[in-house]
Amino acid sequence: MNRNSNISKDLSAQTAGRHRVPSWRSVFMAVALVLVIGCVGKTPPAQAAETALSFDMHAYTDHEGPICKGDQVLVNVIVERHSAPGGYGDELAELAQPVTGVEVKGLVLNPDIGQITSPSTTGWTGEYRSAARFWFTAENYGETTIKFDGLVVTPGWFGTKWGGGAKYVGVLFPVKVSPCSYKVNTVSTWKAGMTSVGTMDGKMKSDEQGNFTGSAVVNWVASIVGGGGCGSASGIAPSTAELTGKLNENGQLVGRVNFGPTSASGFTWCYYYGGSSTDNFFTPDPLTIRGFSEGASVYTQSQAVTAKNGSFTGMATIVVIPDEDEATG
Amino acid sequence: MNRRQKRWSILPLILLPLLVSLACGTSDSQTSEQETIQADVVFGPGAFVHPDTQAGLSDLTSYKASLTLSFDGTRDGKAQKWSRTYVLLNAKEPAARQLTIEKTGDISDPGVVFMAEVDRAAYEKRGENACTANVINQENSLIKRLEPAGFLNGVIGAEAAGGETVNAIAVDHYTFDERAFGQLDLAQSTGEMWVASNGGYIVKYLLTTKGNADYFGEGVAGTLTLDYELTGVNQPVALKLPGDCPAGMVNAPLAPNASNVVNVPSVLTYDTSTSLADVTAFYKKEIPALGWALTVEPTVTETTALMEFTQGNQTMTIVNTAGATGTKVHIVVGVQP
Repeated sequence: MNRNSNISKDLSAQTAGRHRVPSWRSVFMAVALVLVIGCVGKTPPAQAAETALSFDMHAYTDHEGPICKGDQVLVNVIVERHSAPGGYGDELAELAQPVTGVEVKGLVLNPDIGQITSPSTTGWTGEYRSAARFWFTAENYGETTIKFDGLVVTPGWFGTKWGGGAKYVGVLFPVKVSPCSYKVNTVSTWKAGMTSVGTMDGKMKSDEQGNFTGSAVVNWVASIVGGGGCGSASGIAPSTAELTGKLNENGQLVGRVNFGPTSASGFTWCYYYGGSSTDNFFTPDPLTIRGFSEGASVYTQSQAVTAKNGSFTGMATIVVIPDEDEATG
Repeated sequence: MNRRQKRWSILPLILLPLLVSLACGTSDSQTSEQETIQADVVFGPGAFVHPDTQAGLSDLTSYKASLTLSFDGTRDGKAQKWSRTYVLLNAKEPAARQLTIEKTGDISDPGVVFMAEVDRAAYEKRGENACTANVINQENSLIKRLEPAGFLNGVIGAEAAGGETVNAIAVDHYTFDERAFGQLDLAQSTGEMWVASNGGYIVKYLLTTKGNADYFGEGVAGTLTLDYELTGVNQPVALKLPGDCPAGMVNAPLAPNASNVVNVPSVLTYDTSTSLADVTAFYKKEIPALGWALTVEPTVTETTALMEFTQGNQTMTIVNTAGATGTKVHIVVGVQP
């Protein structure tokens, strides 16, 4: 259907509606109008015109890394209608619109691998445009496919409401659940006259029950302070840290780093009065672990340390990264 | 604003995650085969066609886009009312984006969502939870997906309503109804849009759609309103991160023979076969050259080295630890309150 034929049809329809017999003059004017509009080239059909409508379904997730056992992965499913009416020439853009109100069902073809939430309707309920939202819960290692489908029933687009014109659309969404592990790095800093820094590079792995555990060494360094003919140095022995965690209902790794005690030996000297040594023990407070199975998660947290001579508050930077090298399956 | 451009705008959304998924062995996006029918569809009587609602935005150096989506109606016979407001600040050079989503009413997980993407770092803060940072995935930017203009419906056959000035921008005003979406008999819509005369981007867009279960789905009826506005076009944009957000990416060179590099917002760690003394000397020379000031002389022992630098309100702490095969380097950048 081309542009000119549409316009011709419109004009003849209007003419017929008024029961007027076109004179040669009006015919000439109509032809002239067709030519003028043809030059502008963008007048669409005001009346119903047969148009190719196509529907498709897209399923996507923001989840980027491996899916871990215990993960809950949000899958958005949208149904789009594409229409390309005639009458706009070669420059016509396809009009793609989300279709709301489509009930979408999800089926995990191998239910041993995981479960999908109940049917959901495409609509304006989520943060994304007109998506039906599903949560896939990964229960076991392996691969499967989620089959989504829905019936598009749009009476305005198919003629009569009860006269058929419905189309099933569907999409297959493959899923792979892998064993996962995380790298957890912490850098703790206290500034109390001198700067003390503890660094830990740990790793957590999950067991069959989905419990994540790991242990790591914490290395310490403290600055030398001095002035006015006096100085102070401190040596802090390496200590240990235990890491524990579990995936919560949102698929987020939640856990903590428990730091063991460590000892510090300090030495203070002054040129005129000589030197003296002191010993100290301290234990840093635990840190919270929060990580996702996709991308790094970096955050800061205040951290106190309790020593013989008091308590001091410092700051820790925590980095939690899925260890994709460890993901198998 | 033609067919080809529209397709390009859709394709990355579909293909890139698919390609990434193929490369990584996981799936991010899948698309079905298209089901096509022939049907009689009525489109708007006007001459204006604007299917790509994000057209022209990429040509702007900066802007602020605001969209309020609100619904007032019933679900399963019970009154339901909610609204979501998206505010996006977008700057092109240097690239920076900030998006806030405020939700009110009968809606799941209400509260404020904050997202920002600055200098390769992506930040997110939901409600009262701590701000977390990550590395931007350029191919799958969350904020790009949530571009407010992307929520608007394109139109076919809108009618011209004259020229105006909106938000200090010369615009062409158009009106339309449900026919512009090919949705006659499905819902009742009333819409207006104002499109920049130069640039073709949408400056203002108002749409009210009244529908029942045929449109919104089983059990839902009511009125959905979209109120979109673009302001601050090509004006300076000031992004403000929540106070607890980590610092940005660490811009520091790597000592020779670096391996196991982890470079995330505020932290850079790696291993190197370079000796502790040489790594320490390397940073004592290189970091001041980047505008950082050494606060005190480095503390160096046989097994560790500690250096502290400041620049403006930022601190940089470098810890080098000697190991069996070389040196472990930790560089942490923090923001002083």
